[in-house]
Amino acid sequence: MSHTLEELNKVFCTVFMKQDLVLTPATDASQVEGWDSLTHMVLISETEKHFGIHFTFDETMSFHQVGDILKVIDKHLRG
Amino acid sequence: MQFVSLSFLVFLPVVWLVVRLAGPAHKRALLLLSSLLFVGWISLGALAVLLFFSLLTFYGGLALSSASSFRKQLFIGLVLLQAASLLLLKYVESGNAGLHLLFHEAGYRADLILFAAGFSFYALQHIAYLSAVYHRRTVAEQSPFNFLLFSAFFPKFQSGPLEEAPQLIAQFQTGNARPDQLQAGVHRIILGIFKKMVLADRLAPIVGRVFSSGQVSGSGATAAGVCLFTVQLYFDFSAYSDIAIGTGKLFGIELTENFNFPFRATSVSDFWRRWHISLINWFGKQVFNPVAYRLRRFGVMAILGGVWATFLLSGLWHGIGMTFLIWSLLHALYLSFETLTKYKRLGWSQRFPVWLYTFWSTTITFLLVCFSNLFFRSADLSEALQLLRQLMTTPFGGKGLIAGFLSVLAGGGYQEALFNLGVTGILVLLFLILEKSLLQRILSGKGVWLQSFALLLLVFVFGIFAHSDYFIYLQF
Repeated sequence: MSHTLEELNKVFCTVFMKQDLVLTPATDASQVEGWDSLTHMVLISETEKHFGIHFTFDETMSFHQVGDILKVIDKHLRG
Repeated sequence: MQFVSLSFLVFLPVVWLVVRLAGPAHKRALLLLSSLLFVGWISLGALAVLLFFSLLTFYGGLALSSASSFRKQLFIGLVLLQAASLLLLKYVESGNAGLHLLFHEAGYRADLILFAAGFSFYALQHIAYLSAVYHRRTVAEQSPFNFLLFSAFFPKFQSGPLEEAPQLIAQFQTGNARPDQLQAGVHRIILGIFKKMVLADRLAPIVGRVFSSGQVSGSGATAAGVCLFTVQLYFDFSAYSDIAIGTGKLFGIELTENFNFPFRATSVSDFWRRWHISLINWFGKQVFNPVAYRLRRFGVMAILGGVWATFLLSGLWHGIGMTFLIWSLLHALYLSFETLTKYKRLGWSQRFPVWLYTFWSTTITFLLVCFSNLFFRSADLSEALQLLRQLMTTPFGGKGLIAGFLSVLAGGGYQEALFNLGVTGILVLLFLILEKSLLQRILSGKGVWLQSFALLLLVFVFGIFAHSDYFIYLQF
């Protein structure tokens, strides 16, 4: 598991209150109980805080699976 | 021209045959011509309004894509013009006397509503298109004919489903319908006709005996009428959507599914992922997501802000008045409660057997939706309050089961009226149990001709042939 994925996994565990969540880049909303259109923005906000980055609106709308989020986080971290 | 009418029964096969004989090269032009004819048939005023707003949006989109200055002002102006027109329409539809006095013209309201046929739906699609072009999420459409067809496409013109321009326009360029689309289209239309004529229109008079009837009934009949209205609304609007989707398929065009077995929802948020899906997707993209994004630093408050903005605007879209306001506030409250108790409810769900928790949550969700629809269906606040008072009384209003409940819903205690009520009840229950397998049979194609034959037979035996041209959602 890459470092970014490991850190993102922690965010998911906190937001969805489930400590045994194990994410892969292919994980999508149907595989995470509670990840829906309503909670999506809380997940985004917590991810931003955790990594110290800011997503654009269009980026947040392009997140369909964990791999999509990882790519954008890495892009922001590379600066 | 309405879907369940003799004129549409002639119009659709003629248009289909002409498009089919002319070949894929002429599909777009013929669909545009037939769509304009369809709209003009409703009213020439509606056609003029459609042409004005469609061409305005089309050229507005082109200007937005090329302008280097005043882009934001142009975008806001174009969106405000359609939103303000929509608001004006809702204001007039709600019957506010002040506006009537301004125009001093008898019959003005009826004229305006005819002029505005389909506007509530295509205005939302125009706003979404302008927003996508402004934010550079899509390239502006280059052909006015394509854009006009996107706005006017007759299967979805009057009440949706709401579509996005790039996806729908791309389908206009494809060839004729494949055999599997043709088969599914025909059977989907028959399913829609059955839902409308046998289920929705048989329920309509029963519901009408509780709402706007002037008679005072006990809590049992009132509760039954309120719940049956939700069932009627589902059959009526999903029937319209079935016919729209089926008609689209006949021309090789896949329209968005609008319903996904909403009465199986286990929460109100689940219900809104299954009911009028294309409208809630529109509100999700245009209202909820932008509001929640801007408020995301406030955690769960971002969700609540998005939910309240979405439902207040959705209530306004349905109509201006206290009843729609209360309806929208109730849904905002339901969703706020669900958001705040989400993880607690997940914990509760694990303490009970799955079947029991599913049964209770489905029942509670259905009852919450029905309660909100008491306001949605009531003509005004005083009627809604009267129905609420009736819900507090004894089940049969001090009479027996037949006099105080069955005969109220049946429209009299005669054997024939009670028999009709029983038939409607059995048909509705059977359909709700079987609807998933009926739809799956249309998708798989196995035994579907026999199914459609049986449905048509039921239409001729139990169907209501008067007023079938009126769909509830045409008023929005």
